[in-house]
Order: sequence, then structure tokens, then C-alpha cells
Amino acid sequence: MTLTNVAGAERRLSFISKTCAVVRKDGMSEFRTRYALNSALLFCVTCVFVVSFAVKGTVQDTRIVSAMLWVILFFSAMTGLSRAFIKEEDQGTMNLLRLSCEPGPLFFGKFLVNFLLLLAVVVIATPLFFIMMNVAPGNPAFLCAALLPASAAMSAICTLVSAIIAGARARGMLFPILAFPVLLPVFWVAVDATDIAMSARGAWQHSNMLLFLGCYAVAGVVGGSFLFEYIFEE
Amino acid sequence: MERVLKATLFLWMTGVLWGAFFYAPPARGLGDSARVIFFHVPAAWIAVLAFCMSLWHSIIVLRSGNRMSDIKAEVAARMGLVFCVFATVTGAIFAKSAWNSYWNWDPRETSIVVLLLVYMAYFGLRSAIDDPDKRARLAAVYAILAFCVMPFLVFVLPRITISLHPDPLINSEGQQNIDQKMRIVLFAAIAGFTGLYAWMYNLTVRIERLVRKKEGEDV
Repeated sequence: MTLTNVAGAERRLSFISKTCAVVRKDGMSEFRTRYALNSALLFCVTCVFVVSFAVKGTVQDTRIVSAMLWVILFFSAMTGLSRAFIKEEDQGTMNLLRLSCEPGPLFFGKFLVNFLLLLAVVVIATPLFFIMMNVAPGNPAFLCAALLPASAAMSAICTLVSAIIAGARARGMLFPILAFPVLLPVFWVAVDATDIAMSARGAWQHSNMLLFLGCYAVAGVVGGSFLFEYIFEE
Repeated sequence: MERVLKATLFLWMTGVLWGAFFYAPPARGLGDSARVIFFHVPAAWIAVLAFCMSLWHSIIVLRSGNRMSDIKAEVAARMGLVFCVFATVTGAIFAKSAWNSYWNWDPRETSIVVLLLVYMAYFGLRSAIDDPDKRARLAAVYAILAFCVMPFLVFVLPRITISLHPDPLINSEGQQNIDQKMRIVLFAAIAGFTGLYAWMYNLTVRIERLVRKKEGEDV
């Protein structure tokens, strides 16, 4: 395909179809290798077993249980979500992406893939964690309402940080260092919200926490797509 | 002119030190340990000011690719890190005497520690990229991204969680809950620290420019 054809095809594609194309490309690539999903999921499951083995069902303090859950989810996200742009840089396909896609749809597509990936990890690991820790959330609906925007916020920030570190050295080490300060508000409120979800009554009185997580997720996606343009240009 | 300014700064800071230990009275209920606020509050103010300056120069870097702005952004972040460490240490010492614990994860303690982590991550990122243009651009993006977290930490989180810190000097009631003498010393310390920061910043920008020129960069 010549450059003229690529440019012509690019103009015809709308934002949504380009985003879908990015999601399809990354989804198929992930379906073939399952590298990111396997690494994040295996890391997460291993952590759940290690924590459960260490405490042997003796920890019933809801605050500690909530903190443990989010530490596991945070580091699992660090393991799996860093690959969004690093793999493009490693495979030498970054310039091809620059040629065929605008920054907006590319960021949004990568964010969606990371979000789905993290959701898969959360859906499998969270029930497993509660079973292994021998505790049950009193208000599962509130817990789900907190997990969803928190995962979206984490995915948006991780996607942008992945783009920042793609061209750097020591990327594995750098990723959590760069992501943690930006994710700390999410981490903080998510632990508080999970703690509240452990008790059956009165959780919905704290719905401002869910609003905070939702706003952070929106800010992460909008701010991320705006800043990504500057990372994308070469 | 420069010598006069430096001499004035020296005398001013000497006055601030004297005022902090001898002029201002001990705080009610907290005693002499509260004198640390004459150093803690200005250091925290400079950490935030430096962060804002770093942000401003980062925006210029993204808009124009100006190498000099990259130097200014880096130097402001470096100064900010120094003052941020100072504010964190003085705050922890005061927390031990006031609340019997060095660290409590109070919302303001969290915001200063996030600032500290952001600065450290910023320099971690800079040291991991070799190409000067790419380094300037990506560091600028990270500085802006990190700044976006601050409104959530400073304005939103303290309202949905409990804080050990008192109301800010300029609070929602528009009142200043502080003794007159303490207020004079505190504002003098803030002015003195700002002058000290301006002097250190100017000096470090000039040094950094020379270092980069020596390394062959076009600045």
C-alpha cells in the first residue's frame, strides 16, 4: 500500500471507526499471544494466594482487607497495562501507527483495550480474593460501582504513562514510579470505598466517592488524549 | 545591584531567624515546637510555587520546543524537590510533637508526599531518556499530567476525608486565626524564602545552561 493510499484511507475513517480498528488490532494481537492478560492475571492470582497463605484467614479487619485488595490490583495493573505502547516501540510499529492513525483515536483505542484487560483481571481476581480471605463484602453493588470507575481511571493513566515511557530506558522500573503519584488519589478513594462496601448498610451515603472516581476517570481520559498528541508527534 | 540584593536577602533571613525564635510567642497548646511553622509553611509554599513554575515552563516547551524553557522547568523542579523534602521533614517533626506520630496520612501530608513522588518520578524519567528534545517533551507532558492531580488532592480529597491540619490562613470564613506577631514573622519568612528561591533558581539556571552548552547542546 502506497503512502497516498494510506493517507486517503485515513481520511475516510471516522474517529469511532479508527478507535474500533485500534481495539480490533490490539484485541486480536492479545487474543493470539495473551501476553498482557496472562501476565497480569497470573501475577494477580499469585499475589492473592501469597497474601491468603500469609494471613491464613486471620485478617477480618475490613480496612486491611480493602488495602490488600487494592495493592494487588495496583501491581497487577502495573504488570499488564504497561505494554500498550511499549510493544509498538519494541516491534517497530510505532511509526506505522503514526502514519495510519491520529493521536485521539489511537489513545482512546489503547485505553479501551487496557480497560477491558483490567476489567477481566478485576472480575476474576476480586471474587477469588474474597473467597481466599474468607470475607464477604456487605454491599457488592457499591463495590462494583467503585471498581468500575477506579479501573477506568487506572487504565487511562496507565495508557498515558505507557506512551511516555515507551521511548525511555529502564521502562519496567519507571512505569510504577511514574504512575503511582498520579494514581494515588484513585488508590486512596478506592480503598476507602471498598472499606465502606464491606459493611451492608449506609454505603450509598458515601456515593460522593463514586462521583470522585468517575470524575477522575473522565479527567484521565480527556486529559490523557489531549497530552498524548504531544507524545505522539516525532 | 546584585550584591545589594544578596546583602538584603542575608539580612532579611537573619531577621526571620531571630523573629522565629525570639520575637514570635510560643503557640497556645503547642508550645515552642510550633515555631517550626515559620520554616515549614514557607518551604511548602516554595515547593508549590516551584511546581507551578515548572508547569508553566513545561507548557512553553510543548508549545514552542524552547530548550531554555526546558532548563527552567528542570531547575524549578529541582529547587521544588529540595524545598519539598525540607517541608516534609519539618512537617514530620512537628507531627511527632503535636500528634505523637511522624506520619498520619492526613490529606495535606498526602499532597506533599505526592508532590515529592512526582518530583522524583520527573527526574527518574529525565534520566532515562537520552535525546534532549524527546526528554524535554516527555518530561513536560509528565509535569502537566502530575499537576492535573493537584486540584483533586488539594480541593476535593480534604472535603471527603478528615484532616488533622488547621484551616488555611486564608480560609472560607476569610479570617486569619493566628497571633499578630506570629503572622508578621510567618509572612516575613514566606517573603524571605521566596527571595532565597529566586536567587537559587537564577543561579542554577545559569549553571545548568553552561553545563548544557559544554555538553554540546544548542541553548
